Amino acid sequence: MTYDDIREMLPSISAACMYYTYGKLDKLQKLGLDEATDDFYMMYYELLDASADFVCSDYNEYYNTSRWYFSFKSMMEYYRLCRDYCNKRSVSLKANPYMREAELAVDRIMSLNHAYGYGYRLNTRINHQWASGIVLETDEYFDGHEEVLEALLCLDEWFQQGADKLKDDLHSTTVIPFPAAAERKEAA
Amino acid sequence: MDLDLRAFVTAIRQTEVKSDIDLPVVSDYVMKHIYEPLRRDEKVRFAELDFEAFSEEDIHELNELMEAYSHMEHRLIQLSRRFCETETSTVQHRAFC
Repeated sequence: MTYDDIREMLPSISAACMYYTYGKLDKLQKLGLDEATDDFYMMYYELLDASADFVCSDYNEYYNTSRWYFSFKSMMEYYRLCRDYCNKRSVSLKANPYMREAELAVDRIMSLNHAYGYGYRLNTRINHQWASGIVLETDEYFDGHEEVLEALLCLDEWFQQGADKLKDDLHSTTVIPFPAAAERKEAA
Repeated sequence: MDLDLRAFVTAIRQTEVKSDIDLPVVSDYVMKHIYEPLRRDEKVRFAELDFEAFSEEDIHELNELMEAYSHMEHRLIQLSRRFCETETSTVQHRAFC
């Protein structure tokens, strides 16, 4: 194999390394992607399909743009827990610090190492399945293909950890009965 | 027969001189388990790789090394081509005996 041929194989190994880092190498293997390949772009679209719990896409031929929607079970759970937090603490969604924390994290993760040719939007609703998610739109100049894969893995991990943190916070807010009220009840 | 080396000498003089070539340093594991099998046209199976032994950064370094080797190879081929294209001429006098 020539040096240039070897270079063609390396993105697939880099992707495998990334999936291993996030504990999801088995996802690649389930797709039948179990060895280095020089056809990363064929592999890439299968990886995108497998990168989230719900994926859908369409393509606009007139503007030559692709639009993807990614949603995760972890993200749905996180935003449901945010509503629980609001109810328990009697605060609005806007005042909920966990909502803001997620927004900042998504902004950071979706910067895609300053790639060109894309835009995104975060949906935070929970009124139906997969209502929370990321809308990603790319044009023909988009150059952040590998970065998107890592971003999606990172988002899932962040929302899983975020949901665990929220659950701990919600469970730590326990109601302590007022002693006088308990005594009065006994006396009656 | 003699070779007209004037064009060849001109090409060498026009070549950029580099006294030190900084090649990326790639980990032994990556060279042995990824570069060498690929160079031999063998498959690199993910199940056989120890992902704890290397990182994405190591793959990036290997990519840069391959790019450097490819450039060096290309320059050598160009030099060789110039040498092959050098015209021959008949020597007027024998150089020996």
